[in-house]
Amino acid sequence: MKHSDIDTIYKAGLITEAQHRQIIDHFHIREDGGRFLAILSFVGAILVGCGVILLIAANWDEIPRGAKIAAGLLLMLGAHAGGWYLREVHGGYRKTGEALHLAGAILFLGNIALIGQIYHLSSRPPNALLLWWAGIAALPWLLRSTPLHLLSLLAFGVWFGLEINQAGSPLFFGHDELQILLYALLGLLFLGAGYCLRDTSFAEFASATEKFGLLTFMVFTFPLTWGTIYRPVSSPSAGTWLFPVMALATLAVTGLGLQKCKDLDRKGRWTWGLAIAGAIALLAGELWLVPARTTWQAADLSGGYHWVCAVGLFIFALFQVQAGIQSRSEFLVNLGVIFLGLDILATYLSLFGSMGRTGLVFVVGGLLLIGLGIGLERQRRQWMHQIKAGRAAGPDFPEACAS
Amino acid sequence: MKTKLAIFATILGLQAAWVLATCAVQERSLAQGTVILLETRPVDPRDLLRGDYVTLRYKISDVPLNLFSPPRTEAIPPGASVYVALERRGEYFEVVRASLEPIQPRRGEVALKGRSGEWWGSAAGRSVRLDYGLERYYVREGTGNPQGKVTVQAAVPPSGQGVIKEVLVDGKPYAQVMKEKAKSF
Repeated sequence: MKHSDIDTIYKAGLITEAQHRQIIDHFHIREDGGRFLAILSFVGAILVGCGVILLIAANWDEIPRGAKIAAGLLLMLGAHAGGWYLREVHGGYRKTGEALHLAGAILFLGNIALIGQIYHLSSRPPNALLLWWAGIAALPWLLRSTPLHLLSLLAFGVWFGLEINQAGSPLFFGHDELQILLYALLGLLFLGAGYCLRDTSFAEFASATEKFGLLTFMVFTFPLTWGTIYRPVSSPSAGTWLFPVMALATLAVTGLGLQKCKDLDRKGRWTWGLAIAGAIALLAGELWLVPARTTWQAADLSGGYHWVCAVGLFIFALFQVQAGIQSRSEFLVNLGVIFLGLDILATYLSLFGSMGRTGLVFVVGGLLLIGLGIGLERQRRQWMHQIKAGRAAGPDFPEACAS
Repeated sequence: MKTKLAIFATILGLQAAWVLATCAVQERSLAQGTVILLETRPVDPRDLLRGDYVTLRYKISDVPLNLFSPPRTEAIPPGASVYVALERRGEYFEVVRASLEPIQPRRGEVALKGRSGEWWGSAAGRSVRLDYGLERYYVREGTGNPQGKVTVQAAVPPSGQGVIKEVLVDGKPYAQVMKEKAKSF
């Protein structure tokens, strides 16, 4: 329900001014323009941050290094000072203030890059990202800013990616493509952490953490359905401690967090929990069950395990849609539907062989996919309708849904 | 509100302090470190999003295992700290000793700290490839293609963490050579 919709109903004379205000207050509906301006501010902040990093990268050697460092520091501190003033002192432009804090946090990375460039520091690249993450990690909690929290999760993820590729690191996971399994696990870990944040004093971060985590998991699990993951004969990744430790941590965190999912009934929590455990088992199978590569032929790369992944991801997405309907989460349903479609597409592309047959399969399959797309969209709309009907039905909806 | 502001200011103070402290440490190394001249082996320049740089590989990057004391027969795992003693041989400094323990430089020697890298080459098992943190020289956009003999002046403080002071192309500063090259076009 948008603010403009209520305005239209009021202008049509169907509700009084008092009812108009009452509806807006009751559902905490914000003016439409505010959200748009907030998005613009955040996009602007990201552009400013990235722009400054690119300007640093251009490396203008005419500017003395002292001036560069002073400018970098002033920009970063100025952005934060402006953000603090707008959010905490003035109070009228809270979102713009938040956007300035976001720019300030990105500019800290810019300053780290600047120092690295000026003094030609090149040892251990992950340390720069770890420093960035450590420098901004406390800010979202202090300033209660969800965009900053997402940036902090992203910074952690990028550091993690660099660290597991750093030879000699205790987290080193080999240089092969199996590292996507760890990113998928990290996504599930974030999802569980998001659940844990519910019913805490930082509950406003829960939804963003869950969405970011689930999206990360889906994005990095989907390539497993392609059957093209490169697996060298002597991959060190299978022998490291990192995967089992992360898998156990994810199970523990998700298990703890699911208890706080009050929008799912007991059966729903168990089903969704088991779906997540199944997803972890699917990732473990990719690491330990698939034999090492013996030829260069693509068909040999996964030993047929990608079919298991395709079916596994399909079932997971279905459980996700079910959990989304019960918890009235449009995000869960939409993401589930997208990956159901992508999974079907990947399976379809894996099935055909020669060019002549491919052409025919493309034509026939294309028509089928168009039909499937229409079918999926209709089903999605039906699910959305159920969610909206559930919202109207009130808090008894999970039970009604289960029955 | 005051506590929140205090914590916020502390975080920003720590971020700024890191920037300034790193500058101070590097400036100190540049000002007080022993300046050595190193010979490089040409490697194609590469560029990343954060800026163009020249990849520098040195003669001292490959250290034969027989220079280690105590002598080593096994390969050194990647990521291990390695200390080398450099001595002037003609114009350039070269490795005379190496160890996995910190080295006390003798008269005329400079101790430099490095980290062993991965190496799959034919000499693996007979030599170790070291990264000294001197392997990248960030340059102005579009100028990462030096033509000529590239040498590096590095400042080495007592800690052994070397810092690039200047990169020379045929004996002239890199930036100057690139400016002259741009003018001649």
